[in-house]
Amino acid sequence: MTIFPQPEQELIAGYVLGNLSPEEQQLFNQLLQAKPALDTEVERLQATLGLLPYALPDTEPGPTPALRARILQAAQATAPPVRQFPWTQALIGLAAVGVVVLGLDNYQLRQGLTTTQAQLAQERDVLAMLQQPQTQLVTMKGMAEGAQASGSILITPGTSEAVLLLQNLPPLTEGQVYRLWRVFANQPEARGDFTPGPQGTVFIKLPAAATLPGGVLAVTIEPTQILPKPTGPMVMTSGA
Amino acid sequence: MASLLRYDDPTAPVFLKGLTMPVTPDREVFRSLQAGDLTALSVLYDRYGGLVHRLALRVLGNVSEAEDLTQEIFLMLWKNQGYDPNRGSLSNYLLTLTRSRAIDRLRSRSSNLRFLQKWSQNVPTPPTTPFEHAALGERSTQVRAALQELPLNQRQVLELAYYDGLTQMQIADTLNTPLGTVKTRARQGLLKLRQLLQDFVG
Repeated sequence: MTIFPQPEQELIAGYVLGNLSPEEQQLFNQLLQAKPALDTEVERLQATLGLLPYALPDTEPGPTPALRARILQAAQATAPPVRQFPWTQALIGLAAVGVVVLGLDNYQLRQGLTTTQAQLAQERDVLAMLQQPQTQLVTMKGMAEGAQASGSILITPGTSEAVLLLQNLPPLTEGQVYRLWRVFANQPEARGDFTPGPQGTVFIKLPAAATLPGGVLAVTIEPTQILPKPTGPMVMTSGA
Repeated sequence: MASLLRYDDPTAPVFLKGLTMPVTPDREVFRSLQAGDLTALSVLYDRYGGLVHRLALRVLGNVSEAEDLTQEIFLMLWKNQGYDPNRGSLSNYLLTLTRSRAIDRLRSRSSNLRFLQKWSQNVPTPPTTPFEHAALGERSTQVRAALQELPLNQRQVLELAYYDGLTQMQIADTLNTPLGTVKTRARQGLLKLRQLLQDFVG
């Protein structure tokens, strides 16, 4: 604690209380220039004054329980604005990429109105996920044959579905699929099969349980029949 | 979200009361609130609703207006989220906001009163002071004890300025005391209070 001489302390107190005369105010300003540490003292005196309400007697009847219920009800009716965390920007960027990819997918593959509506619904789903502040992004990296592949999994804790968004996957031969595995304690469990579009793009929904935290996700090339363990080459992983 | 211990929850088991429990820090609860977690709001209300209401009641002197303001303050916290944890403690933010809004309401009742605006500004308390960690009951005990140490006339001047938003001139009129005396009492009272509470304020 910095000790100031008594006259200076009184000047600081007067400033905090807003009761300086014009001459005193001038003195205070000069003092502040000369001793920047005075600033801290001002803050502490303001904080001291701010403590007064703690001394109010708590013998008065407090707020009624109905008030608590009223506040929570009113709050529920008005969701707080979702804050933009820095990574949300990255997610929105990713969504833009995803939407472009989907656009290509739409154009080249599906001309039918029904399908387009399904795509729009998917885009809406992704955008809705991106608006959830707790949505997490798991990056998938390409390796070996899939070195050019990239993408992400969007997971919103507390919801039942996750979204897998990949691109530049190498084409498959007939009778092959890509299979997603969750590897936990060295035990791989198959979590879903998929085949990419002509541009190597994938956009599918998965049960959220497929992406539980604590394990590593991997993508391998497999024959269409389900086998207990991966047999083909690993082309993508979420591991570091 | 991890379960949040409500140490001053009236339904808490008796053995929990009065203990300084490792409660979830305000800033963590506030982070949950920012993520839209309504439970976080209820936890913060359970922590500070009583204090905010007490201050509102002291300034406004009317139970229903005090409840109305308490609701306004907590909904502001929920909607606007104007609180910045880096600028000070949440309790201090709530009290400063409550005082400022309460005095605004007083002013709208009687436009010929002038009020100090100084304290309407956000008054920062360093967030890591021991005060921040002390349970509410302990804070009250300390501040009450400190106020008891002040000469009555110093305490009276501070309270008139803080709760009633009176200027020093108005206080001088109210107490029929020379302005210079009022100023001296207020300054000395504040300095003494700061000395008595320095373990808390730093």
